[in-house]
Amino acid sequence: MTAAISFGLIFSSAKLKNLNQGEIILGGLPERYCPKEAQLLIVAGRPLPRHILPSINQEKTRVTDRSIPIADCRRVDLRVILGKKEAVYQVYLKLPRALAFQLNVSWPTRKTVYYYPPLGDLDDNNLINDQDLELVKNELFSTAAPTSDLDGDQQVTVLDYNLVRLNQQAGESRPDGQPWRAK
Amino acid sequence: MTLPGPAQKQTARSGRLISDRTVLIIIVFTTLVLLLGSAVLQRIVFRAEAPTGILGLDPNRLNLTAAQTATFKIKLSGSEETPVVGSQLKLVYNPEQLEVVNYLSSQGWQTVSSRSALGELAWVLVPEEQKGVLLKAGRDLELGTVQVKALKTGGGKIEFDQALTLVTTLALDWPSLPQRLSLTFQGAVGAVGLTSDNPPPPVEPITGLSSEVGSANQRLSPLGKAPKVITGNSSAILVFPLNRPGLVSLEYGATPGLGREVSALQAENQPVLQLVNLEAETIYYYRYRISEANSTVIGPLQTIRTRSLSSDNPAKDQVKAILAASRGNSYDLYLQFFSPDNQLLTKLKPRLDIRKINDLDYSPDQTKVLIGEAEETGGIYKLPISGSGKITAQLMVDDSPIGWYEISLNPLSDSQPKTPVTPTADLGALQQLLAASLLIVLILGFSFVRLARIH
Repeated sequence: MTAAISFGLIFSSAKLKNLNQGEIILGGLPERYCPKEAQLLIVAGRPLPRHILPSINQEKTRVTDRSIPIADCRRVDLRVILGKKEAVYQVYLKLPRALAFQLNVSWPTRKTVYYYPPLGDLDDNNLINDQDLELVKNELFSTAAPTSDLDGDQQVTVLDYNLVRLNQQAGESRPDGQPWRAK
Repeated sequence: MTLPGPAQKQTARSGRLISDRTVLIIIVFTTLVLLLGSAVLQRIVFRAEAPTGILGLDPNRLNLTAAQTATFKIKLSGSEETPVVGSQLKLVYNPEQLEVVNYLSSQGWQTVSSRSALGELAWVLVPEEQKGVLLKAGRDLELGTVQVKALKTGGGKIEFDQALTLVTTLALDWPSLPQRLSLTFQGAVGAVGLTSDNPPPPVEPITGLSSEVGSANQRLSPLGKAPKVITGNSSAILVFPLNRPGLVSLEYGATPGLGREVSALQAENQPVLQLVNLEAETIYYYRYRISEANSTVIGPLQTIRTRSLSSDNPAKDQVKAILAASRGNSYDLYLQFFSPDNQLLTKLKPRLDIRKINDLDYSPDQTKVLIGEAEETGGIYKLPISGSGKITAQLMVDDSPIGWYEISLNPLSDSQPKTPVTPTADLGALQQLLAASLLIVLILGFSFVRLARIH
């Protein structure tokens, strides 16, 4: 019986250990930042040089383009979407108030991918710039319900201001040239 | 015309004598007053240090007469060099006794926003340079000044709440920095009681800020800790305590947009990345990417700052070192030397005189088989070492002894590989441990029963 329990535990622990394979784990974010869903776009095939991308009909290679839930505020599971078919995919992900990013994944993968998305895209236009900085600046010391609270502490402080100020850059564009949907 | 009489002569003489004495007394008195005054002024300049929360001035220590003004400088000090990217300050005072005349940001800083209410003033300061301002170890960084005026004579109450002073949002290990926030109040106010009987408030390390930004980095990094970094004036070394095969690449640049890339494929041991052709005293941003068998980690945006150019004075004061394993029994010891005023030293000739290898004594001549010539790149010296075990050596710079060091040539032992920690992985590890323990108990039990049957 002891042996059975032992083997059971080993089997289940191995299974648990594999749980993160095929997931994207988000890091480098304030603890209380908890996105519920993200925009996911997956395109089959290897990435092509940017200058020839417009000539490719992305519709034929698009695997999925939808919102997906984020587990535990940090985990994006690709297994349900990609199944077991072997291919190379370009995975695009856009979190609310963060810049979109793109990863190339050889599927099926035994890897867990960690990514640290830049946070601060308050207007969700995939660009952290002076407009976002102005939004957060106007809400500093505001007693009303803050909309520019990035770190989830229910107030807009120098921490939120600096997240926007220091992360100013553009996110990854969609391969079809369409804008990312606002949250 | 009449000649002056004896009485008139005496008056004139005594008048001159009184005048000389008066001048003398005035000079002596003024000197004493100045000396005393400067002593008093020195005594009323004091530092209050606290981690977060309230830095208070005891009302008894602030004793202004009506309409008198006092100016307080707000300074930040720390025990480790770190970039400062912003500060949120709040001043609380008794509005019946004090009035804030003005508050100014220091040179290089700008006030982003402020809010004033009765008895309260809050404002956010950021450096004009987006890269931040470097807070040098042991030195003050002035953020601004506040001028207050007494509305009536008597002790005024004034407190600083600077709980949100933000040292940096970028450094991976900044929550662990032994940082002290310190406000220096400075002004010609009639303060009393500033003797050793009234010490500044107790000092505690900063806590709490780590939960605000970036603490997740620590848990998700496969390194378990940040790469070891030393920066020279035109180069930097990053040693990744990975201890297993993996491709490490690094994007870096003078702006958050990065733009330059360097990579190292290390089949074993610790990958070392060297950044060269950097500009002195410049903040560089970097983001690492580690591709291993089971995971790819794209690191957070972090910063390093190159050091200033310096003289070639001999180093006696401070040594920083990183030991990185290269292949087999080969190691590279990266060294940096600083002058007592914390300036990076270049053009030195460091060497190690080994006296012991694993408890066996050696003469200095035998060290050459273990240690190669030191080469310098931008203020960072690389000493190749080969061997294993523990060596005891004296570090020499330009034939001057710096100090004795014990170097363990097995850095893998003190930095075991860390797998990404997630709740599920933790649970799996616990279950495996439990299962292994049960199996061992089972095997021992069977062995015991067999032995008992044999005997």
